[in-house]
Amino acid sequence: MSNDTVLKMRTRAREMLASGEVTQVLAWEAGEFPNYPAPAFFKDENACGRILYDRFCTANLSKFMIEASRNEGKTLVFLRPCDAYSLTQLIKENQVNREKAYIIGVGCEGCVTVYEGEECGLLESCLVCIKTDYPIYDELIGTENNPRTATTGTERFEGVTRVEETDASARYGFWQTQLSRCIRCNACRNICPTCHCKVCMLDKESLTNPPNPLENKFFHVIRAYHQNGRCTDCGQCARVCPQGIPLQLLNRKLIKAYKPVEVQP
Amino acid sequence: MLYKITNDRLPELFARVAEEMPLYLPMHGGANDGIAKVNFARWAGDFEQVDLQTLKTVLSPKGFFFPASEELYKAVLKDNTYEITPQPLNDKPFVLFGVRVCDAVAIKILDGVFLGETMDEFYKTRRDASHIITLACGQPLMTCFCDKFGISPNEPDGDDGNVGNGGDVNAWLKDNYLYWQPQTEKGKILTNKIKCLLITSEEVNLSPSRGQVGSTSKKETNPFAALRENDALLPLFNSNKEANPFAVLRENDATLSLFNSSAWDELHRTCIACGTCTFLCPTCHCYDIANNENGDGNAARCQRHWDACLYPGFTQMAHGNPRPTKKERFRQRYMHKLAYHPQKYGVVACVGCGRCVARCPVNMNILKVARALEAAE
Repeated sequence: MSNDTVLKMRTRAREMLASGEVTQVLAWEAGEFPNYPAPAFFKDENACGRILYDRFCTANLSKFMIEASRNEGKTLVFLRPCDAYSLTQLIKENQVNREKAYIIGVGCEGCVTVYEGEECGLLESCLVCIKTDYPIYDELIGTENNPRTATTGTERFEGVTRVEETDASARYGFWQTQLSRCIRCNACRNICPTCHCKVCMLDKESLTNPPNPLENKFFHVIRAYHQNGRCTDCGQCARVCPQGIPLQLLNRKLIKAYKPVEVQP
Repeated sequence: MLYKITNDRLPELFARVAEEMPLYLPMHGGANDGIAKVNFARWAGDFEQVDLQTLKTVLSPKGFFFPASEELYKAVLKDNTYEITPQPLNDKPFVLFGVRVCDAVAIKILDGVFLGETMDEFYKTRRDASHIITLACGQPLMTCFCDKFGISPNEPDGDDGNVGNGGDVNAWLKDNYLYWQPQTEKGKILTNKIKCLLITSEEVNLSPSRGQVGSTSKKETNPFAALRENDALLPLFNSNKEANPFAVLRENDATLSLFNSSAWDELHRTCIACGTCTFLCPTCHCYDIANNENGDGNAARCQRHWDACLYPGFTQMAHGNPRPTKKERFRQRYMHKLAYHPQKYGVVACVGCGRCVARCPVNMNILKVARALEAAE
């Protein structure tokens, strides 16, 4: 990301905090290790020099806006196209109050996978990116020369098609192998912008959910169905899975099958 | 006594060990994002699957002693009383090969909890049945910070004031050999059973002092150089306190002020409370026990599962929850590791494996918390 963009982001954050237009800024800052930046809230204009934005800023800030829009005052949030789609969905579902958000769309070069601080290529979701526009914003920074070009949209279903083309027992075997690795850590659910239920129907009241091949399947399939028609394919679930389960395939299978109902006027 | 075996004979070695008892070692799993996912799995004769290079298995080996889920007993209603049948203990011996030094030290930390004043039979039985073979790391990874806790990735037996790791056998991979050094009685018995494959080795400098680790490594500098550079970012480690960076947190009187620190108000906000860090952490050991009755009330199974302090159900009791919001639950995790555990057991419940650093979906980690706490002092 060009240095210019980051400097502009810092300037706008400072300006808006100073003028009192917003009470806090939601952005990324450097982590403890190089290339591990973390989402952060800024309330002090003097701290805005710490704002960072690069290809390692993989976390989608939209979900934090659920809490932030319940805080006093407005929140300035920086969003990339895919994050902006997530936020649009959250606003649609009345989880985020649009009036409480000041949205700055920031240019996107795609995010990268990182292994021990080293770049390991674009995230899968960026490789098949279809969103380079900003469905919602108050202003834009660094988007003039957005180097990302959207794919045509067919590429992202290639993985789904590959699984679909196999027979039922092979498909079952594929998911059995993949989902048996799940440790039920809930990273996919908790990072998902559209998973915002206060109490998850898949949580038990009395006991935490242990990994178990049968329940793992229930968990992921039901979760995918619950996202049906709402999932914006931001790819965060697959990104955060510590076991590398291709969770995007479940969501995309449903996206592929999903057709919005035409409402008669 | 130091033994060695050439690397090309490792499949034979593993096969021989597996004849004696089940052998678990790091193996490849799926790789959705192009990064190998390595986990401990049972040896089934396929050497291709074995990965002795990747330092961090996704899951630490703690699950071999403290499984993610287990049944403790069954209760059946008979003549108005419940007949309780404890789950039989599994004392079948097994070998864990390739445990990194940090993870081995973590097992010692768990020993303090499970074998302490209240001994956990299930844990003890599996612990007694285990044969831990540590494997030196060579070059630590960028997210490793075990040296902050006096652990050296290549000196498993803990020379010069380092903590000993409790491995039954220590192993090193160096110059086309696997070096094998039994440490405990269990380790010696195992070694005797496979001795036909090993050759006695001359003395080799396997544990070069820090700063000279890994003659074959790309970097000639200190293996922790990356971290040292980061130290500039970490006031915590720049302070002129004792060698242990968390020393300040051990002081009893410091605990309350840390507990009430204003740093928690901001710190918890970007945590998504998923619990990944607790499950991947080699020292996290909170669990949840519940009786699941069969539906008509005349039988129940008592189960124990890993719990995570970040979940809303953590310490949920009939009267409610003493930690009602994410802030209190988030604070619990780090206060437990940095303050409560050291007070009770004299050791910080962190070994610097860096799994939380590498795997947190939002890059929250224990170093960030410790730094923020110190800054807020």
